[in-house]
Amino acid sequence: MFYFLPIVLALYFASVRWPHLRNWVLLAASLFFYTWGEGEYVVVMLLSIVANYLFGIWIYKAHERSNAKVEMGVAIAFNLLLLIIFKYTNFLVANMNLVLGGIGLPTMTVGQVHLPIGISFFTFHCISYLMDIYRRQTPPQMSLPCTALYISLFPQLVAGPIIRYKDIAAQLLHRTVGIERFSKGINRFIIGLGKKVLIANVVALPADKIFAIPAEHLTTPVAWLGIVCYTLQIYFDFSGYSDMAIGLGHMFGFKFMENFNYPYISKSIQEFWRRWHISLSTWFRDYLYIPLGGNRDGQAKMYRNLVAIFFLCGLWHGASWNFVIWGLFHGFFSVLERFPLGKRLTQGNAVIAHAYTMVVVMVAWVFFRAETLPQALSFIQAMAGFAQGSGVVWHLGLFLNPKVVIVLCLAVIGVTPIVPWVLRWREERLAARPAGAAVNLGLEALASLIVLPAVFVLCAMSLASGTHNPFIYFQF
Amino acid sequence: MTTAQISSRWRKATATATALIFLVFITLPALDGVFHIAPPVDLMENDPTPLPEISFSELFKAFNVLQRGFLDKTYGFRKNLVRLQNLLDLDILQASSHYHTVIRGKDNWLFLAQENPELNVVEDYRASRLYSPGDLARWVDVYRGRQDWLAARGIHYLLVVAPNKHTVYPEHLPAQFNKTSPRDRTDQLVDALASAGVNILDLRPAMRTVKEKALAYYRTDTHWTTYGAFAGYIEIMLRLARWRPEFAPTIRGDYEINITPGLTGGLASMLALSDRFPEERVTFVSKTPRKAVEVPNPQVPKALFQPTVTMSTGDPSLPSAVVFRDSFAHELMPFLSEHFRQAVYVWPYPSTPREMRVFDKAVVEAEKPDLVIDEFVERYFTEFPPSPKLPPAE
Repeated sequence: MFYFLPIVLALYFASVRWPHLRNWVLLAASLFFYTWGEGEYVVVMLLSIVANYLFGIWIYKAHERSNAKVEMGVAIAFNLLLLIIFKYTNFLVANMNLVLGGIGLPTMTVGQVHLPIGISFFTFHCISYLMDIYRRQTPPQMSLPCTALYISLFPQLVAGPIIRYKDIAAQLLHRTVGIERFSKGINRFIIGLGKKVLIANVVALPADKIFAIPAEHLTTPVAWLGIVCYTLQIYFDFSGYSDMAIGLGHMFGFKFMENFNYPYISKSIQEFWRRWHISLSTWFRDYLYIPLGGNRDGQAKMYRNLVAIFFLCGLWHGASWNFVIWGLFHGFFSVLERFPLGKRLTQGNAVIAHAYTMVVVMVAWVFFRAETLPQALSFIQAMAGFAQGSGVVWHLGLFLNPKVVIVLCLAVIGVTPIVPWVLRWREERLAARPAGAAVNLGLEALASLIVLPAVFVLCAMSLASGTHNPFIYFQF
Repeated sequence: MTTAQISSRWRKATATATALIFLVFITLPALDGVFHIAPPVDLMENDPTPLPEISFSELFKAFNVLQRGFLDKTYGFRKNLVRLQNLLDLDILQASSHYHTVIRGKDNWLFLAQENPELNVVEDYRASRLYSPGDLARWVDVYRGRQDWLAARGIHYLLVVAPNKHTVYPEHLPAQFNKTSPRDRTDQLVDALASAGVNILDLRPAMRTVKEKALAYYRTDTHWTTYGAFAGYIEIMLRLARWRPEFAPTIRGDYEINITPGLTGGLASMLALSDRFPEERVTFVSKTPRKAVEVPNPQVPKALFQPTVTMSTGDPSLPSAVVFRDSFAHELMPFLSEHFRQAVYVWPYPSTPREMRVFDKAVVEAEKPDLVIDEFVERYFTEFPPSPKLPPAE
């Protein structure tokens, strides 16, 4: 942050008069950023970039004489094969060995395959690019550096949002940044950094320690504290990264889509997925659910399509059955809500609907977070009150301290749309009157010049100390 | 000017100031690297791997060193930021977590907690993990093996365990760190070794006795004070006197005790807060001249984990010793060395769950000492035994 970002900003704005040069600066920065974290595995991404650049042109030209289905199939197969090789080989071999061992055949041995950071994200960018060309929503990018920039752009490279090519194509060539937009980007970046460092990292410590407790020592209060901390951690971690990406995007003139819209206020699982990781859920909707037929072929097909989507969504998150179960768990309740009982639950009393949704989401996060299925089931059992621990070895006092309590309170407030409410109140009540308008401007200056710089310094302090700093989404 | 124009100008000014503040903040560390404007801070931590010389052939090596944490530890203002973070956590928020390196206990006592990713001293104190019978049997084999190997050569063996501070001063630990078992791994291992006939000296009772009259451990460091070390020395000598009765009349007590301000405790330094945790240093000054001096010793390794030290009194009537040590021996060495013709203090790498601390037989064979002392601080003594190595394929 203190070396990479100042240098990139300096080089970028020094070359702002030359559009191609500034794109080269960003491309170099992005490839450097990736190489810094992944070393030689940058080759996987480079291979993906070149291949998809060529596939894009190939599909586009194929449209002149056919519907390009064959070409599209080949291109998608290539991308999925790359993802499967690097992300799922270990998982597939382990499961094959279970089957082979079960029937007495010799098992396979494969060297451990390394998962390149962000492969799930950039593969989805590549598929988005090809699909937008295939659907004639955009022509292909004839400039390889621009294609490379779209796929590798460092603000969103490793944790999203997943940017559609058609949404950003024009911005690759033409974009401007005024001082107000730059400043808005800074503030958004700091907000995201604060979410990640000051909230997610603090609650991550109790979450990680509690999920490491052996099942026989878990107690119900500790299990609930663990899942509450993890529920908050994953939201502030992931949405923090999205905010940082969106903020950095603004600094360089890009407008990225919003990725979270206060998911923990949802009153149904369907609403949750309209608010959680929006760029991913809309990707699956547009590129998988709708092509499968969506809800056009009757209810039975719709349910099948939903289950398929949630299965693949779970698998996208990780090469483990627990992620699949997490996805299917969401899929089950998403389908259930379309039946009369589910409708009554989610469309009746708002408090009950919200409580139902949060319980489902939190139980689902247990599968997401636990290492194994037995561990997940033991944890849920403890949450349900059937805990085996005595509370002597692992008690709440070990995980709660004033800092954690303060951060938990801030986090619970932060999952509500309090900021949009305050903004709306300022616009409607304050800015409408002259005296109020002055106060409004004062509040804005206060936030930008004192509060957010203070948040930034607090983040720098925390990062400098090297305190607990897990990376959840860097594993995908 | 219209209200709208005023508003627009104000917003632009706010935006410009925001950008300036941010750009200043993110460039300050780099500026400090050039102009060294950050105030100095005393922070004790492991140094990052030094950068190799930059040349074409070394370029990738330099990249790797930079990549693996060098920049994370060396940017400008970092130590100042660490200090501020610890002030915030420990002073303002009163939020010690035993998953951090140092925790603050009652009455401004500091304790080591997470020493490394695999060793949490507070959890060891709480006895949340105990040895299995198999673990104990493995440790008994190790130490009994050492003792037997030495006995076959006519050499006496003494295993010495210096307690953790947590064990001696539990009343200053934060209240949430409860004991989960009446016996801990130290109890298990000391009992098992003693039952197996290993000569083991457990200094916990001695330290508790010292504590009644004096400060046995520093408040802001992990180590014992010279009071504690002196008591440990007395106990060691009384034990050695069982084999060498001539030691008994020579145990020295003719020291003057000096107490001076200005100790920089290791734990306070790890927090970059030495100035906020002042403590007095205890020094024992001999009333009669000491005879032992450090001498070169080409027979033994210059260093293992830390440098080897050889002390000699030059008195041929005295026995010789080899001491396998850790940092707790530092305060013991001036006392012990007076009793030996030559004492070699070897400092091996500490035990980890993967590798046991070395018992260097080559040193013993080269030195041919009369006595071997294996000194451990409690937290490394109670490591879990490494998994048995598979026999080499033949």
